[in-house]
Formats: sequence, C-alpha cells, structure tokens
Amino acid sequence: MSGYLFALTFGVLTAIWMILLLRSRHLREKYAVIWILIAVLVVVVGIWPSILAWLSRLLGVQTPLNLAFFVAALILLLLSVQASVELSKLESQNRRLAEEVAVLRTDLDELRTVQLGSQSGAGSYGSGQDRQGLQLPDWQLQDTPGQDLHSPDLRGQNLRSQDSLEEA
Amino acid sequence: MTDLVPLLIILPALNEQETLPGVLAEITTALPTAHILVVSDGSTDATAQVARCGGARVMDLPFNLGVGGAMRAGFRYAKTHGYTHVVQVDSDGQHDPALIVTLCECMNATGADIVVGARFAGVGDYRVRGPRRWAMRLLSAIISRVAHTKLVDTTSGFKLMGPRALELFAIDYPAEYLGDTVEALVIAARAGLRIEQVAVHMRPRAGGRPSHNPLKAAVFLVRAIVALLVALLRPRTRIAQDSR
Repeated sequence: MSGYLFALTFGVLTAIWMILLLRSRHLREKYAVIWILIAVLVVVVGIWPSILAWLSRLLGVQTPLNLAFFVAALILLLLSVQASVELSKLESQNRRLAEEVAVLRTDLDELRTVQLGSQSGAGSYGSGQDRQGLQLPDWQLQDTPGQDLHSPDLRGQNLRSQDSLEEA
Repeated sequence: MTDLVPLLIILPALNEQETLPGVLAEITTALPTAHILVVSDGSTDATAQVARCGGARVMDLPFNLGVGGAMRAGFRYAKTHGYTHVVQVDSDGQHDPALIVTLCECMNATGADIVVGARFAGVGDYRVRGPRRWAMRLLSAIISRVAHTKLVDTTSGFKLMGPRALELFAIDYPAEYLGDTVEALVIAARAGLRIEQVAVHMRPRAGGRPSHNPLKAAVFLVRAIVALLVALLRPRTRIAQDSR
C-alpha cells in the first residue's frame, strides 16, 4: 500500500511541477499536456490499484507491475522519439535561418559597397573591385547579376543569360 | 561559353586564410570574367578579409554549417542573383582553377546538368588505399547504377552545376556529413538530372595532409554507407517544370 502512496505523491508532484512550468512559460502546452496526462494516470492508479490488476488480467499479463513497467517504458520511448524529431526539425530550421541571414548580409554588404562607390566615385573593396579592375565587356557589366538587386524583373534577366548560353 | 555567361565560382572555406589568396589569384587569372563567392563557414581567422582583398564576394555564415550548408547558402545566393552556372571549388588549392574550363567544355559537349571533376579517372596520381578505397569503390559502383553513367569519384568537391541542378540544389541540398557529395549526386540522379565526369588531376593540399589512418577510414566507410542508404531511402525531389 505504501508503494501506491509513493506513486500517488509522485503523480501529484509531477502534475504541480508541470503546471508551474506552464505558468512561467518554460514549457509549451504541446509538451506539457502529455506529462500532465501521465501524472493523472499515475494518480488514478495510485488511488485505485485494482485498475492495474484488472487491466493486466484483461491483457493476460501475470504480474500487474510488469504491465506498469511496460507501459512506462513505451511512453518514455515515444516521448524521446518525439523529442528527437522536434530537435531535428529545429536544427534544420536553424540552419536555414543561418543560410538566409548569410545571403541577406552578403546582399547588404554589396548594396553598401555600391552606395559607397556611387557616393565617392570609386569602389574601394569587395565586389566593386573585380568589375573595375578587370575591364569586363560592356554587355556583361549590364548583365552583372550583382546588379539584379536593383532590377525588379529578375526573371527576365535570368532567361536572357540562359538564351545566350544556348546560342553559344 | 564561360566568358558569355557570368559563371559563379563558389569556394566553401573554413579557416583558409593561408591558401585562399593564392587560389583566388589563380581563378582570376584563369577566368577573369567569372564571379567568385567565398562562403566563410564560421571561420575564426581572417578568411573573410583575405577573400575581400582578393576581389571575391564574401558570404559569412554565422556559425559552422559544414560544406553542405555552405554550398546550399551559395546556391541560394546564385539563384536569387540570377546566375545559371555554378562551380564548386575547394579553397585549399587542391583543384586547379584552369580545369574549370574543362568542366564547362564537357557540359557544352554533353549537355549534362552536373559535371564532376573526378580524381581516379586515369589522370594524375591521386591514390588512396585500404578501407577508404573500398568505400569509394563501393560508392562509385552504386551511384553509377543510380545515375546510369559511370562515375569513379563520387566524393569529389570539384563540380560544375547547370541551371537545372541549381534549381534543385537551392531547394534540396543535404547538409549532413558526405551529404554534399554522395547524397547530392543521388538526389540529382533521381530527380532525372544528367551527370557526367571529367578526369582531373589533383594537386597536394597547400596545407595539411590527407589522413591514412585505417580507423578513420573504417569510420568513413560506415558513414558513407549510412549516407548512401539514407539518400536512397528518401523520397524523390521533383524540380519545377518551368526551371528550364
């Protein structure tokens, strides 16, 4: 009986803990609900131990406690798989964000360089340099993808450069 | 052709401040009209500054994402800026930039979507032994079947990607270990892209030596097989019809 009392206390404490975590927004409902359900389950079985005995008779499990262990292990397995899935999702979102930030930062750098160049009349470093230093043919200067930033019709430019590829 | 279309050369770089200036200078000599994008993959040294001084555009990733992540960011850049052809070159000086022209010629001649610069195809004296060699053999055998073409070097980081490959890789480019080489080829082949290879010679790395530790090679073998299995199990990626 004292064993069940222990389970009862544990269940109640877990439920209170989850509610506190929820209150302070350290835990989202999505994850808290399952833990609260488990805590309630433990409390219910703690109050009426005969439920466990009845269930194990029903399922053909000889020792009721073995059923409890099995269910507990199963729940833990499912929860940790769910956590891994969520973690993978977050990781890939995190990567995407990092890539996106890097692309945007590069664009920003380029815009700044172009702006600096148009203000002072000479690009001093970075993307400005390869254009000025290497004397590219005129058409390519117009078609320079770095300047697509300013042209709203990016798709058209894209097609044009592909056409010239196929003609070649 | 290379001097008609602005070609984008992407160099994923992790702490390569020593080798990068030389590589950049070589590229500008070999292909003066190409645009260079150095993707600094969370480098902690002066890689970004060195690259800017060398006349390249620099994409600075906020933290290390691996070659796959760096390349995917590069592909996105290429796509949003309207580039149609992208070459991936290692920033450690292993690849001879003069050979980029060879890759482009192969693409012109065969109409392939991806051209891989292969190290074992008879040119040069690049050799590996033991488990690493078996792993590479196995990979090339399987991927050759998937891609319906003979590919001897599936882990090469020297590749030319055409418009259709670019379209695909901007959406779906694996970031895991070996994903950027092995898995990327599988994704491309299963999406119906044509892959060709060109024999290239590799130069010794400017810094550091490739490892011949058998334990590391065994780990490589296992990881390569895992990467390949995962790649074959994944659903196919479809590319949009209007991508051509």
